[in-house]
Amino acid sequence: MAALTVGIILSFVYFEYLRHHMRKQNMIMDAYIQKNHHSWYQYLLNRIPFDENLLWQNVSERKAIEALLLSYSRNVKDPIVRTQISKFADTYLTADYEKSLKNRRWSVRINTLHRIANFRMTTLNGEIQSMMNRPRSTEEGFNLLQIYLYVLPNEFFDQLLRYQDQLSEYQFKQLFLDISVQVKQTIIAGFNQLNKVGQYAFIDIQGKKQTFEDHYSLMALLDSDDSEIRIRALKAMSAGTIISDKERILSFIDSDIWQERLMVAKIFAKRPTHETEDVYRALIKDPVWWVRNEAARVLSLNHNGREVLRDIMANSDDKFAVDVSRAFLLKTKGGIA
Amino acid sequence: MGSEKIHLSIIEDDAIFAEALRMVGEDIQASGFDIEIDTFLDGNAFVQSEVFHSKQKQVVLLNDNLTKLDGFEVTRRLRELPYSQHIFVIMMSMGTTEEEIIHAFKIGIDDFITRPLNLRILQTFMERVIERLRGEDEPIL
Repeated sequence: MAALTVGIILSFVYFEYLRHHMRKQNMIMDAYIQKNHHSWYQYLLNRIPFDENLLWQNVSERKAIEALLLSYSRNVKDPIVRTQISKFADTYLTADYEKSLKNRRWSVRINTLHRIANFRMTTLNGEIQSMMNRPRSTEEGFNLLQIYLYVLPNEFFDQLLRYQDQLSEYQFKQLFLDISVQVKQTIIAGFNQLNKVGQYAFIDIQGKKQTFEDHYSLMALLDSDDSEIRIRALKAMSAGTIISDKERILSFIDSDIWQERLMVAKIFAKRPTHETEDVYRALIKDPVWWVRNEAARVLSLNHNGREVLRDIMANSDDKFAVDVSRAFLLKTKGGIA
Repeated sequence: MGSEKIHLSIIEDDAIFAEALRMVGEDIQASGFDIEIDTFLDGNAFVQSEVFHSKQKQVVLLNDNLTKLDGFEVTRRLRELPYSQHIFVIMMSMGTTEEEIIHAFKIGIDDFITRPLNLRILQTFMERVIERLRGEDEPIL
């Protein structure tokens, strides 16, 4: 009982000490930032030469500088700011980070990798390459790949292929979200070398980017034997507005796979009704509810489309098409009449 | 109303970045623009401030994802004000979908910028907005 009481008291004292230490550290960090932020702004944005008086006097001040640089690297994309951050980090943080990369604690190594990636440091490339030969955890491998992406882009794809089976779809997407044009071209050229998870992730990200390059790469994937690839490519295209080969997309109306027919309904949603009326008249009779529903939803979005729905309601002999037209017209302002 | 000082309200929950944006505002002042600047770390602090209720012309630069009251709700409340036409709202966002951007415009933002930002471009853009607000006799929105 006495041992338990002593244990509780010691834990309490320890946590109080930690709390006090954290509070003190935060106060020092706040004071440093308040005093020096303007000088940092001048250095980062206006290329004022770095004043060594800004260097840290203790660990808390170093953390304050890291917090400043992290905030700028997350929120600001001016090329000059990026360059100034890298220049400072390469000059003043290399020695500390080199030591931290060898730390036995996982969290210290991961935090250091984060900073190296965020600050786009190049002075530790040797250490990064050697760590990539044998990452100690998946998280570490993922962070190393992120650094390759920024500072060793020519080697990124080879390293990704070597390590890809350890990555989740989410991690693939995180990597692909921030790729340069040059890296993207390498991935498009080597797409078939990616595993399925990587291929799916890459297609999804292309859907978010929607450049012409992405679009044509997605169009090429419509010839894939893998239906999941085709569906994802169609879905990615439906997020954008580019339709370069209407006939190729329309050919999926006759697909045996209903998800492909559904994607046709989504892809043409942003086109005027007079161009797509026939497409939606066919899709609204689809045997699958999801496809019929999407066709009716798209038609209900504008005046001409609602006229088509009214016509289907009045004249179609397809009971399901009539029902879904009525359902969507009831939701719209003009109603059925 | 044309000769009045224009107010720049920055609503951003990353304190360091909020301060960086304030310094961009100071650079705008240094370029000869007579403006007042305030920063707020959450939406609630802004809507409860004097600035929110003042009839001064305003440029509001706000994050979409704020604590307590998000940028969408702050915009909605700004647009309920009787003199709302003298307020230019710029929303900053990291990774927003097309639908969310459309929603933001429907609620009443005037412009939308994606983070990370180019601060030099932001400064020039805000200078143009301030010039337009200052020059207007009729509401520009």
